[in-house]
Amino acid sequence: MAKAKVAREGGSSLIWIQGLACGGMAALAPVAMLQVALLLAPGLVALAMDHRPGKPMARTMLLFGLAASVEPIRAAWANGSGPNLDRATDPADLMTAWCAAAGGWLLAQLVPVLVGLAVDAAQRVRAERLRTLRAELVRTWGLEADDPPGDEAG
Amino acid sequence: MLMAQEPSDAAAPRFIIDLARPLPEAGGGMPAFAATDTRTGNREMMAIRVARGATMRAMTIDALATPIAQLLTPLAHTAGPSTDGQPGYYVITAAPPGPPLSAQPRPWPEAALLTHVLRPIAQVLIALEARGVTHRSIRPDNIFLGAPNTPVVLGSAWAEPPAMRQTALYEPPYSGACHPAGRGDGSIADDVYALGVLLMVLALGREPLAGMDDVTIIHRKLALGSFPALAADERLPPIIADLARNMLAEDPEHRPPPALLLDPIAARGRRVAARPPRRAPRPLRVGQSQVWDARTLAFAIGQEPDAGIQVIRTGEAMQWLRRGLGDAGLAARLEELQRHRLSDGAAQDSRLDAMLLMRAVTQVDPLAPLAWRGVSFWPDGLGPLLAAGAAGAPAVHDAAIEVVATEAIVQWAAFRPDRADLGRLRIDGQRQRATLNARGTSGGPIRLLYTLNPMLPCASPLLGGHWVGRLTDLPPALEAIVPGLSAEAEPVDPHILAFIAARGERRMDGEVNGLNGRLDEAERLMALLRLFAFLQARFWPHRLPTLAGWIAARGGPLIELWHNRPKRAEVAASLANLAAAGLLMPMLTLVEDASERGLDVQGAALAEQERARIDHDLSLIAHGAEARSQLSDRIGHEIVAATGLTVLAVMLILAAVG
Repeated sequence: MAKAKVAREGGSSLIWIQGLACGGMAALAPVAMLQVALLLAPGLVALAMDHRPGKPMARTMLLFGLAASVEPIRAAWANGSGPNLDRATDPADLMTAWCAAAGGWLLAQLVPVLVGLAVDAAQRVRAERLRTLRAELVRTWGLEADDPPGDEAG
Repeated sequence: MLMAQEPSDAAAPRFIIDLARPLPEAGGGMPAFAATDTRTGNREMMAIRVARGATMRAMTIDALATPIAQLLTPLAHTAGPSTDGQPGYYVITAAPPGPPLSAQPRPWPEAALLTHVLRPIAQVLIALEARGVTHRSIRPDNIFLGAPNTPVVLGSAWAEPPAMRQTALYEPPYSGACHPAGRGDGSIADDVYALGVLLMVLALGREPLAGMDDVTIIHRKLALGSFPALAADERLPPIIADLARNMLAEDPEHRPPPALLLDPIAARGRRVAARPPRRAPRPLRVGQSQVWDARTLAFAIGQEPDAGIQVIRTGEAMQWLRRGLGDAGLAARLEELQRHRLSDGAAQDSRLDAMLLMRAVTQVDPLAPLAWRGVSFWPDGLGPLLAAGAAGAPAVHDAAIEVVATEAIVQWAAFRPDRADLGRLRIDGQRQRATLNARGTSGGPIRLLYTLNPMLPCASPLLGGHWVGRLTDLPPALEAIVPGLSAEAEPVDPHILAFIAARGERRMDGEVNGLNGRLDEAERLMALLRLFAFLQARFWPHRLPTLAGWIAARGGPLIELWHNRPKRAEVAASLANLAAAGLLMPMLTLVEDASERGLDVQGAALAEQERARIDHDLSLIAHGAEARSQLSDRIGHEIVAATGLTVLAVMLILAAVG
């Protein structure tokens, strides 16, 4: 109980620190912060909506969105004066970043399914090998010839 | 025709028995047939057929391996068929030189009696005594005369229990009173007695007391004394009369030894102090008998136990002894026995009554045999008596068994310590009782029967057509009977098992006892296989394919002792091959192989463990769909996250390098 309370208090402090940092950044560079916020908007939305432990969906969308945001941010800082509002709301940059986030979302949906299919196939192969081995043991040693587990339902 | 061979010679049959040529008077009452010695070509041979329930005298046959002049000694003995189709057993001897003395009864001159009868038979008795055996069949129909003026020849007496065919005339009363099978080997003095009677018979040319039954003759002998009973109304040559008087002395210790008979003059001069029995003025009625003297009382009590116990219980016998016979001491001893009986136990305990009667008979007549429930016998006749009882006289059989169970012989010997070897009888009695009381297949009355009768053939009904007298005879007999067995029957029964245990002299006890207790099918089959295998290994070094095939045909439970299926198939094939070869010991070794069986059991246990592990794994697989789904999600998300990080890193590097 005490540990859980300490952890909750630590997480809450981190949120406060993050909020304070974001607030500080927004005060010091509001346009830059706006550009980042817009570019990562899908990921941030997913961050709020994803309640699974480790927020895997939001994490993937943010990573892919961030990867697509590197070039616009670098370009915004490349002229020496820092990002301006036009640049921060450039639809092409936003579309690219959001598409990247969407791609991340799609991958986060598809890859676990594919992995699941692969794992199931591997287990089926293993189960079949075990059943063969079991049948051989029963036949060779005259063990009680009952149905192996998992065959009850046919 | 059948072939017989000497026990020591298994190579070639030596004697041919011609069952088509019976020799009616040559066997001394036993069936006899002509035989031929194939080695010498001698056709003057004889085969005497042994009765199944009356055993040969093993010790005597062994003792007579070396021939004795004027005696038909056994040359060989062998099993074979008989004229009635039943299995028979034959003792081979030389054929008698002529007809028996009983064929042409005539009075013999005194000189001829001494020269051609007394001295030759005395020589034979000296030789027999030196070998520690007796003849016990001296009577006119078992003594043969060849040419005139030649010594007589004593007939065979080994093919049945001692004195079995002797009538009461030729036996001392204490032997004549016994069951024919229970007279025992006796002593050479009993042969001297019979020889004395023979001399009287030949001197007279007829049997005295003709027409009297055995019981009457015994009564007369007991009442008057043997010699007066036989010679009372007869005129005998003086020398023969003197000799016979000595030779028929009531006490065997008073009879002349055979060596003394070689000199008839010296033998006739030997005087024996023999008082006539004390006779009461009035008789005592015991059942159907009227007794006048003590020995007749003992005989009557022994013969009629119900009436005997009555006269003792009522005190009538003691009163008669005291007032009629004037023997207060004997009456007091009987009263003491009666008091012991009352203090011993329940009034209706018939065993205690039988014990009382046995003690009373011994007390009244120290020369009397052991009398138990109307059956009298000598301890060395117990075996043949038991055999005769088993052959169809249940009362005799039960009496003999009861004697062993109560160790009555020891009690009997204790009452006449100067006339019995108490120590030896005590050991014998304890051993016999232990055998009788032993539990399981290797003990009990049947085992006792075969232990006490070393030449008795196995009486198993399974062996119907076979004479199995030795363990070497049993394996081929089993081999022969197996095809005729019903589906459920086994080639052993209590008789065969007891026979094996008795003849095996403890070497086969383990194998026989293996069949004791509640055994399942495999255990019983294994025990049978072990028994047959050791029988073959020890007593029959030849193939037994039929018996082995019987085991193999029922060998399923033996094969199923193995868990491993391929091994089962291998064992079954090997078992079938060995059975075809008729080799039982290798079959036993195959199915009893401890190391292989241990490995098999170990393998079966490991297989069971392996199956449990597989079942566990399969169960995990069957019930692990959710866990696998979670795992797949986690792995999938990690893969995607790693991909995202990789793309980010690439973009950052690209941005950095410009």
